[in-house]
Amino acid sequence: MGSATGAGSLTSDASHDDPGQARVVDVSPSGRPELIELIRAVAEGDQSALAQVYDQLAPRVFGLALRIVRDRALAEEVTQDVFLQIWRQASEVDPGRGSPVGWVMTLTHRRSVDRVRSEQAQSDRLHRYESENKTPPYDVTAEEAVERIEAGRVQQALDRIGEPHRTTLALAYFSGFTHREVAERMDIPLGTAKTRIRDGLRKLRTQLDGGEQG
Amino acid sequence: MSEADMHDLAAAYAVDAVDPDERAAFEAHLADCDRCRREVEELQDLALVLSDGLEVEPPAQLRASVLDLVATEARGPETAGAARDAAGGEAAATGSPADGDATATAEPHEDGAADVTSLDARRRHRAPTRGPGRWLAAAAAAVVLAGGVWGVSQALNPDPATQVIRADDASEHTADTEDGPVAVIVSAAEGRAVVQLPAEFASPRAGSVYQAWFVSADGTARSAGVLQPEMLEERTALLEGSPDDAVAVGFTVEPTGGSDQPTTEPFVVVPLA
Ligand SMILES: [Zn+2]
Repeated sequence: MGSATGAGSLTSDASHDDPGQARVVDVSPSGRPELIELIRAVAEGDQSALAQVYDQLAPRVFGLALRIVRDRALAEEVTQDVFLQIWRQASEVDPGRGSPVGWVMTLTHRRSVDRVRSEQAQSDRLHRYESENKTPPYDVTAEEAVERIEAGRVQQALDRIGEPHRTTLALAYFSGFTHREVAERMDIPLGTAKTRIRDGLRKLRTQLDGGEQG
Repeated sequence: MSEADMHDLAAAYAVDAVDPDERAAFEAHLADCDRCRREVEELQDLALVLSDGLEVEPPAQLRASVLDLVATEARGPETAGAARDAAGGEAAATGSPADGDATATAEPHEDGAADVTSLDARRRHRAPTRGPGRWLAAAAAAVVLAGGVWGVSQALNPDPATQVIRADDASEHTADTEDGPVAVIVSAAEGRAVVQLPAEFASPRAGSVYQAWFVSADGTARSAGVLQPEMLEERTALLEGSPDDAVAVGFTVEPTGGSDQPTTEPFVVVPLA
């Protein structure tokens, strides 16, 4: 067992040494009008608009969360968090980015990964032996992680980008590994992991552009 | 980290494959780097296809729960208490003192330590917040938005136990018990240690408690605190005091309230070597 570093070095300082810049922008009616309109209404405090956003996006949010955290209760928490975040931050949606689906799914992905990592920090060290329904992702091999990604469009999209990008992207995107951990698991240099993540994502576009759905 | 290294992080950042330090550093970099901002946008847009086709219908009651929480926030602080009781009720029951502490610490950051606090604990503290209008002002102060990028950075302010667990210098030490491994995680930098218990750890008999001890090389024991029921429940406890020069952490059964010195043989000793 030994040393327990690597799952992410979370320091209390991290919250303070990044002043960053807050940006508050209006939503412009570009991208998908309906959703953008709804998000704008949410920004105005319209709760029924949030309910409609929920109806449109909850299955996708919940589906991605579930795929990453692999536990229904946790996925529900993530989904709830994401919609609260939408409620609070709808005003900050960038008009230059087209459909707010991207914003919502990015929130979902980050929240899921953060959740799986914090869960990981607790559970991985504790009950490694409990592997019935919920195997902590950090315990799985690269192959297992990829095998968990079942059939469907994603699988196909991932399959078509080919190895080694398929495994790299699956580990990074669905298993919540950092690029460092991906590199360790695949036994490749750090720089290679980062490059493969980028190239893998770009290959997705090739698939989309050349694919049957255009 | 060099500027070139920073640029290199864009892809990993786009799919959240960075650790918290890298995330913070990269977001600071993003503020000044158009190239990375464009790349992150591009890659996040591409990643969108990865969540397409994964749709799963969430349980029906989740919708009501989300809308309840939103309604509670929208009502503002004056009714938050009543609304909270109506919406949750279980908040007080399940929120342990540990949760309370953690959330209190996280308070200034609002969304910050969300991943380390329980939903109920967060709900309690989120209740008296503002609707979107007033959120804007707070967001300007509390939320770091990487310009042009969807990702909203989250201030990180974990509870003390999580800080230990995730400290850079954290080391884990375990010993087996009949119920499974007991782990002690030590961070010298944090000056603290955390114990994690197996899932099915038996509770102490009535009238007795489990007490943790820092054991020095000369065999003397220093109390590291009594494991309270909620700690057993959560299976994680921040030990009292600093591990300092302790060479082991021992656990004994003591009368309720704990003892100054161990009165029984330890049932498990976790060597810190
Ligand atoms: Zn850059």
